[in-house]
Amino acid sequence: MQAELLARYLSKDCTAQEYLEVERWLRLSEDNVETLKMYEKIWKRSLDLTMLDGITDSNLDWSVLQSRIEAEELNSETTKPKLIQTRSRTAYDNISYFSRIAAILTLVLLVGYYGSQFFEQPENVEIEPVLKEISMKKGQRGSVTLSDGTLVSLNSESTITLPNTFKSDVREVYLEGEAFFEVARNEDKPFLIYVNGTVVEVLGTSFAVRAFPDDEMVRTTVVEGLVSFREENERIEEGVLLSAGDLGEFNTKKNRISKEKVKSLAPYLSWKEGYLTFEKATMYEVKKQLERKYDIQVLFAEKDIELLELTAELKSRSLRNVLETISLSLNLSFNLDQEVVEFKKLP
Amino acid sequence: MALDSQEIQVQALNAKDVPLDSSLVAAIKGGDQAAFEQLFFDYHPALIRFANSITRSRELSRDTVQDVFLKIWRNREHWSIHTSLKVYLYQSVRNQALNLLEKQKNRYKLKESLQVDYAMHISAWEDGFQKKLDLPEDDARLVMNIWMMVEKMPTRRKMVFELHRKDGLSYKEIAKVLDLSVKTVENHMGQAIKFLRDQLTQEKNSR
Repeated sequence: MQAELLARYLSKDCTAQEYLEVERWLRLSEDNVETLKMYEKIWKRSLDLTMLDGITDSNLDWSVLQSRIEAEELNSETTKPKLIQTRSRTAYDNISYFSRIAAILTLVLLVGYYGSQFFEQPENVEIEPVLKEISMKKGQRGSVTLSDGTLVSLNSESTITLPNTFKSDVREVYLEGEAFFEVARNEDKPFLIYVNGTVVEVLGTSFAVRAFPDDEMVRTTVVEGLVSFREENERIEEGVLLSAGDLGEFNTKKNRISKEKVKSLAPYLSWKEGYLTFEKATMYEVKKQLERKYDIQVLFAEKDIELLELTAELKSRSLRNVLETISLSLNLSFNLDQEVVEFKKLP
Repeated sequence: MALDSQEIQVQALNAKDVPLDSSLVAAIKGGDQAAFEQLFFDYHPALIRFANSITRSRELSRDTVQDVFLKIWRNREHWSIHTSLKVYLYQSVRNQALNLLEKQKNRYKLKESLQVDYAMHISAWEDGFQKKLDLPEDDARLVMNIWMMVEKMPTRRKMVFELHRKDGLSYKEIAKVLDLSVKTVENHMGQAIKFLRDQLTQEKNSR
């Protein structure tokens, strides 16, 4: 077995196919299992390397940087007319105060971390988690940085619920709606997303999940890394493994999970950049997304408009432009009145 | 361990606004000093270590990282990132470190500093690092051995390995930071673990 593939396997950076290839190789002989065990040990222990690094005094360097900035700004004030507002003394004092707090906090964390390994811990002190809920309304998008460094971009009308403090062995969150995750690597603490009867377990890095309450499907698309997608309470082997370019779909009515390679991930990701992309989407789907994004109401003068299929990249910031593009490509007209838009078939 | 209490920042944007950038970057561009401070403290230790692996001098590394942050603040209004924030910072540190090295070009100093670092770690071991790691002796010795083997790797390979294991960068990110192809990064990682395994197996057998 190639070391390169094993390294990718260990870092969960391999494709689903390679993952299975390694699993197959493991079943071939006891020796292979031993070999991998050795690799895994090295892999895991190499994480402890950081502990051997000397402690860096960030606080000292921060104050040096502050004085360099101060000096520069003073200089520019004497030569140029006052473009930059000078900070008040108190504001500056606040900053150094905060940096001191930050330093103390870091210290407390370090001591706490290393300390916790010296002191005996009472067993089973999992405290009942306090849950926090973060929601985006219609017309809003937002991003959340979690304590572990994971970045979550939330689409309109989406909610993420997470505990105040992650458990010691796993990071669990609950999602309703649509979100894009860039999960901070932590091989010892898997990241799990519970969404409408399914669970998405992250083995690698970034991917998107879509499951609005009125959607029949829960969809997961992977940009980078490896993701396990399965029904709640199932084990990894029972679900599907998704790698870059894969779309996993769970049909909530039929309780069936499937995966396919998609030509383009854009329709699942462009909301994150602030625009919509459709690939043969029905106007029924387009209506839902427009309403969500622009906080408007969409009406169809004729009921069968909702069956029309749209393929378009709607990059314009102006709602009117977006509506025009849609109308043009489907041979419709529209009327925009306040927060209500009505599409009509052209005679 | 119940230490990582959630500190959450939420930034909501209206659909009609600019596309969603990393909220921290946006805040810094707007002149938010607290955001700048957060960025500094979030990345400083890791960047110092990375700079150190290039310059092999603590002082030069401190200068490198400071220069990078100073430049960000100085040009904050025109600051634009085409990759991720993390990749941007590591890339900038690499470039600046190479710049400063070019200016100094002091090979003698370089060698000396290497030896000091090495000695420091040996003595760290004697100082009972094993206890601090809180691992069984065999495991602690393994960590120590891995560390010393890593030192013996070719510079590039060592950097790749450290960026992955210590800084948690993905293959793709490492490729961007070090200006290599992903294939090359994969190759280095494979060679690195193979080297470690071979060396450690040898050691085990000889004992």
